[in-house]
Amino acid sequence: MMTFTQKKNLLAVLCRQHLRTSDYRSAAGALWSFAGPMLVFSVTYFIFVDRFGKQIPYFALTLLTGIIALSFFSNSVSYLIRFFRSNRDTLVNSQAPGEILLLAHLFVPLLKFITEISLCLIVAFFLGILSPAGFLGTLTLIPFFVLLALGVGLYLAVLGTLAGDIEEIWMVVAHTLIFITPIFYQMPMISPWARFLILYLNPVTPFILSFQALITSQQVPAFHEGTLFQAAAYAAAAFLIGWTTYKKMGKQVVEVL
Amino acid sequence: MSAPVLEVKNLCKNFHIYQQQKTLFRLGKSFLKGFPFKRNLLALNDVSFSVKAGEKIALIGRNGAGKTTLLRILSGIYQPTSGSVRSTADIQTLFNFGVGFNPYLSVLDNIYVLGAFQGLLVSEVKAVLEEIVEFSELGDFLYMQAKDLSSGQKQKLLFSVFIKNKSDFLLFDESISVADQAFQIKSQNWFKQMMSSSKTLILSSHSHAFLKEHCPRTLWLEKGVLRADGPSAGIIKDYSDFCIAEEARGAGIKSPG
Repeated sequence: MMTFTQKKNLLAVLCRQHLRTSDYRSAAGALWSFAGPMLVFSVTYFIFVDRFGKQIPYFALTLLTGIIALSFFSNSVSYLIRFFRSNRDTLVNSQAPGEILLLAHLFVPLLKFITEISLCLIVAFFLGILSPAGFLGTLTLIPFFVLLALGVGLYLAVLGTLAGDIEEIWMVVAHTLIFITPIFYQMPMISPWARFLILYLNPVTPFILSFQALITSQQVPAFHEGTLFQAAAYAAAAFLIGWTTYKKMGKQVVEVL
Repeated sequence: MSAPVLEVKNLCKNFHIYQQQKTLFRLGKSFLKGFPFKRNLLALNDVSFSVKAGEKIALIGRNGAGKTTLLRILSGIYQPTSGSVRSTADIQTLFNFGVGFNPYLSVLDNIYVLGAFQGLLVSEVKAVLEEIVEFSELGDFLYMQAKDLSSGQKQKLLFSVFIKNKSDFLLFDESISVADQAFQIKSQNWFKQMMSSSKTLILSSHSHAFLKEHCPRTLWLEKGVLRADGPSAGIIKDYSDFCIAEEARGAGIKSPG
């Protein structure tokens, strides 16, 4: 069995490996994380802001924040669902702890997310709407959001080894999330029952609202302090369920791969 | 000989074999109605033995006899269904040279990744880097992408890192012959050194001449049952006779006359 230092070393080496084989293989590669969101921001700013701007303050920025956060969540969960199958050989032939391989897999999407959300913070700063509390709040919220993605992803990854169609089902859910998460619209624009469902049954909603509110200094209706607690509670619950399932069934999962 | 470093008692391992394509619907149906979704396969049945420090043990048996399953349980990758495995040693295993190998990284980066999978810290790999490069004969290719190596060169790389493993208890599964003849002599010499060292080794291989020469003790697994445990010369001969008899019996059944 590996010692803590050996596990830490393996995690660091694997993170470096994933970084080197991703589009981040050079320092300039990080620019790709800016290029995509910048393009979305430019398009939304110059094309839509004139129309929607009257109804939604800082529409381009809230839209960009929402897209970035939701993309991270969807991609991370997809990565995790594929994790067991794509790492079968390593899992059944080495003593490397599965959770180390798993965390290393999340490293590049996480780095991409942090880079992209930093872009939102920079834009907010130049627009003059970023407050110190908003900045610190965003940084605090990121680990909770990662826990949510990790929890949901781990649970579905374990389930995915027992039922092969989970990946396809997740693809459909991920597409649906775009429409049932307040990214293109704001909560007051939809009916009360839809608002209730989207706020309480979609665990991503409190995070999207919180990121948007923190970055734009609370220019988001339907956001209040309770939303932050709701987000933290969802993250803790999802992580607890996902991690417990993984720890309880991880070994059996490797056997059925 | 000293006290046992490994004690296996009444070890049983059951695998679930899925009888049809795994889907969420079938999983649910199986759960709710007790639908026979999977059947059990007894891979190991009541296996007991102990290993003392410094012993060199051959593990033999036909394909599907349970050798790899036993080694995976001993190394902690699989969990026993019943029975116990108690070990006071740090067991390291080599099932597959390729674990951790990334074809899109350079040869040098691969050395660090492969080392990390063997529990070697970056600083430890750095300390023995020259020896690894010299042993693998890949000094001219360090910065080349590993996918461009020939299969023989790849095996040299993987084997050269593996032999830097510091564990006192090593398990090998079908991994004695590697690369070209010149390198095979090198690797055979390494194995001979291991055989005369104080390390504890369990080797699973079909290379009976090698096992007979170097391992004083043999475990023979047949259909998951430990059929014999004792001096290698007699057991390997019995096993060879058994295989010949089984083949003749199989040929007799198939023969129309």
